[in-house]
Amino acid sequence: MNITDVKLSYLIEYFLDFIPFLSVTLQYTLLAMAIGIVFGLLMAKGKLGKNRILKGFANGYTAVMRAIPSIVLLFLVYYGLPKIFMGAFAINLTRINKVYFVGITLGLFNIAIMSEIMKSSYLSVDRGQYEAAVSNGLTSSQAIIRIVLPQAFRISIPNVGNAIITLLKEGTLGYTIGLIDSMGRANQQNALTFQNHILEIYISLAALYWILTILLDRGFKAADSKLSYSSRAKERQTVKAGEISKEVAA
Amino acid sequence: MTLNYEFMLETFVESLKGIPVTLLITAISLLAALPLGFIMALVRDGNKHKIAKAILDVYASFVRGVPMIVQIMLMYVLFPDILSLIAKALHLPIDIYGVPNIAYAILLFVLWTTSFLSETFRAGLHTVNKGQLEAAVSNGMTTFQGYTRIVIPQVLTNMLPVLCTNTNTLIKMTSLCFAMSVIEITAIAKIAAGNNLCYVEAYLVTALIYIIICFTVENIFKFMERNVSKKYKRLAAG
Repeated sequence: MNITDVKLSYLIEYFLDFIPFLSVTLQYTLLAMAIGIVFGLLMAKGKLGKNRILKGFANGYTAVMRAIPSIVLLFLVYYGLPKIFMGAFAINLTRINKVYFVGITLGLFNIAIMSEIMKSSYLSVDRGQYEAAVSNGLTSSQAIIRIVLPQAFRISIPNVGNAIITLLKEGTLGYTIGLIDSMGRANQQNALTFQNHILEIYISLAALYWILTILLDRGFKAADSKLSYSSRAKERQTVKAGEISKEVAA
Repeated sequence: MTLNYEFMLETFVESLKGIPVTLLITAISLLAALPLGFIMALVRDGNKHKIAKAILDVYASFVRGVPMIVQIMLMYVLFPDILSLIAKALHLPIDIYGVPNIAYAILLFVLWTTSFLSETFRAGLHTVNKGQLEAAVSNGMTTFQGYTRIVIPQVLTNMLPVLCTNTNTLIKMTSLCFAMSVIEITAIAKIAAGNNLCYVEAYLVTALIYIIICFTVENIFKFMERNVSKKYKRLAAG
């Protein structure tokens, strides 16, 4: 197999072959995001709160998750979780779909990532906004839910986008435990063709992920600029200017 | 659930042998990528070399967009190919099969880290006012001197916390070298786990070793930050 022998027809064939397996990628990314948002919110609350034990736990968890390679945590979850469930609840997990193991592993990382994102975006909303809302008669929880959180959400969009892209890239490691996503499918095809098309297979796989991440990146950037305060202010201004010019014309 | 503590201790000692390999790949990648990444950032931010800029932009997008394991698998096939083509074209007597796998791993990680750090440096370059370089040049320094004596020290100082995160990311990424059959910490644990069917224990040990390494790196960077800020205070005080 040589780089000069790569055939375009094979590239297209394998590229099209891998696309349906993105549904597996979608599954573990969604599972990881769900875990990350729910528990990340609790962690972020712990980090911002006054309880020292919760704070220490949340910060310690984040530090540990930052230090463990994803492949090691994946193996730990894959071999450890069924053992724990077997020992504690006598439930056999060895036959469940492997996508759950990948989703849970990514979710564990994502809790740390999401809690950091939530914390920093919450802190980046000016404290005066909350104070202004409260002094205008909103209750504390109303002020947080109606004034602070929507702004924090908007600020967090680029980071959440990056987190999602990281998740779907890290998830390719699922092939090591036998998950058949597009990466697993690539290895399957390699075995089926006796490694004869190895270059074509990996080039199409790389192209698939490359295109996917570029599209996602563009999407999140568009969402961010659409929702950002400055662009909305501009919109309002142009609307106003339009109204004024209409009035002048009338 | 009971753990095999004896095996864990054995694996821990065995895995320590993998640390030099992990650190070697990390250190070479960082040392090579620091200057290369800086040059890449300058080219991508400047307007002088349009073609080089376009190529580097595409390359950076590739490194960012394609999962590391896919890059490793692809390059593991491509590098020997390209090497043999070069050897053939230049009539060099290189034995392709004699090149150790770790050489390919290091090459891939140098390329990856270069692109990765160039993103960091681009952000870092914006933190230093452009006027500083202009002032240095108008005071008689060459552009090279202006960068090495005025801009780069400041960029590096500003970038220390991010560089720390990047170094940790790099150390974690080297765990994927097992796919290139490089025997480092994770690969040793994988082999030991398979031989003794003690998977959980082996990977717990591996996780522990990575945690120790990453915390050490973090503390080294914190120490550097403290020293640098002390030095700046002394300079500011005159």
